Amino acid sequence: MTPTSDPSREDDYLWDRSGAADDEVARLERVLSAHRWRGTRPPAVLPVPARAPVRRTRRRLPWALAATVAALAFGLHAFHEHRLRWPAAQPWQVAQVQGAVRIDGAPADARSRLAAGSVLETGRDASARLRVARIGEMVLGEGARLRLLDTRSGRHRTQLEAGRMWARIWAPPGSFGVATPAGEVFDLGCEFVLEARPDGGGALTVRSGWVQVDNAWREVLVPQGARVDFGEGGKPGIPFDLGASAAFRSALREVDAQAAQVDGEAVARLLAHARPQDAISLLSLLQAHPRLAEGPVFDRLSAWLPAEARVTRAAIRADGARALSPWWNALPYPRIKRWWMQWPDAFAARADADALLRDDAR
Amino acid sequence: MDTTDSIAALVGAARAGEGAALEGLYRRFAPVVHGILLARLQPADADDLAQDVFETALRRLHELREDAAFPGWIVSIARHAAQGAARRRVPLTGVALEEVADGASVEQRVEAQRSLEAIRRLPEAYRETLLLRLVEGLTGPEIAERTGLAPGSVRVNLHRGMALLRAELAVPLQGDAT
Repeated sequence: MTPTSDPSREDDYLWDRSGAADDEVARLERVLSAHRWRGTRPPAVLPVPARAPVRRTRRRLPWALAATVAALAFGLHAFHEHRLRWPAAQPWQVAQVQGAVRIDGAPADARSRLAAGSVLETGRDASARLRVARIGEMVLGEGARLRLLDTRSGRHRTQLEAGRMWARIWAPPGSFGVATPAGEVFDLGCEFVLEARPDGGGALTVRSGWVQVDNAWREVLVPQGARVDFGEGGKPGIPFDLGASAAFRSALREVDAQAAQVDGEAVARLLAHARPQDAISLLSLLQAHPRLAEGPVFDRLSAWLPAEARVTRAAIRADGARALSPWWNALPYPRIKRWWMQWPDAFAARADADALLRDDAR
Repeated sequence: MDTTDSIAALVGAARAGEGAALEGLYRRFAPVVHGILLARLQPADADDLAQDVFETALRRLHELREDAAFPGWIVSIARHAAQGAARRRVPLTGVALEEVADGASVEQRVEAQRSLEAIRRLPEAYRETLLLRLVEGLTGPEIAERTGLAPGSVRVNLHRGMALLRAELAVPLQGDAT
């Protein structure tokens, strides 16, 4: 169906906003402005090459381009495959040590290697930097004790018994894992700082990508710019954005501890101090305690998250936390399946150990 | 208001690597790219891809033979990128919370989504023009200048597209109870 009428002066407002405002057009402008492009900065662009000569090379250009693209693709693929491949049980290279660092009780230096089953320990004011096979690197701070459990293509597992670790991994999700007294920590394509205490307490701060924590209590997903604390015995709290206020964090702990109260005073305080960036905490709360969906936590998330990410109370009642998937997918963080987009994590960090081990946002 | 000459001048300066010219092109054309992507993709994916398209266009700027042809050229790159992304089907990224109007009620969000979907159901010729006008806030003359279309064509597309959209929106919403 195609309207037959032609534009007339009645359409002046639609054309250039002159003339009397058309109520329907003005309403649509107002409603749809929510989807307007809001980017403010141009992308970082390489210097623009000068205009290419077109006459003689025009016919050859497509072939030359295709050959270049094919060669680049082949090279990148080969490099990628090489990065991910690692012979079973091949030791990891120590890249740098500072202070007293020992492997299986013997002093270690920058030429040492950490074999599967071996334990690396750092003394007071000491630190060690290691290559994680070919998929990334890690730094251990003072008083750390790390055991390399298993290393082979696609599976690299360590155990951090105590101390603080920084790691940056560029590999498919789950390639790198750390067992701690608090539970298992799996890299999902990211950079993070992990602190483990022998009593199970500690914290995990994620700087890029996502990290998953699995233990006897619950599974926790922590995105970049967020942190989760572990209590005694390793019980994980609810992740929170690093910019969250102290009042919000305090209320978050309280609501998590007494989740039976769907609409209590702690929930009111939590929402009073919540910002849109705290959606990760509210959603993690619903994930851990689906009953909270009966109260105002659900309404706040509904208001913050896009309407097309449709989650209903009825669905949560029927399916529990599984019904929350559309909201998880709508959170403003990189998609886990697109781990390769975090390509800056493929490069070695230049900062010193102290800076890398700092427990805050970059 | 921009003129074709000033766009050509900006493109020429951008070729010479002038940062201000690159920024000028971005400011004028990023909404156009976004609107074209929005005609074929979900808002989250359009937001994500707009930056990539612009980056690709600027990197391939040396392939453009006539500076004044930049509007039509970048529009075709955006359409091509949208078709590729739509074929992949899996959403590219999540939605940034800040990019959804703060303070909007659930009803307003649903209304925005419904209007957007109604525009997407229109014939292609009207879809892009209406999105550039109603979502990106460009006027008809600006749309003509930044897409390379004739002003008369834009005006007809706006007029007929709006008539169809009014009819679409007049149909009551079905089965939307939460």
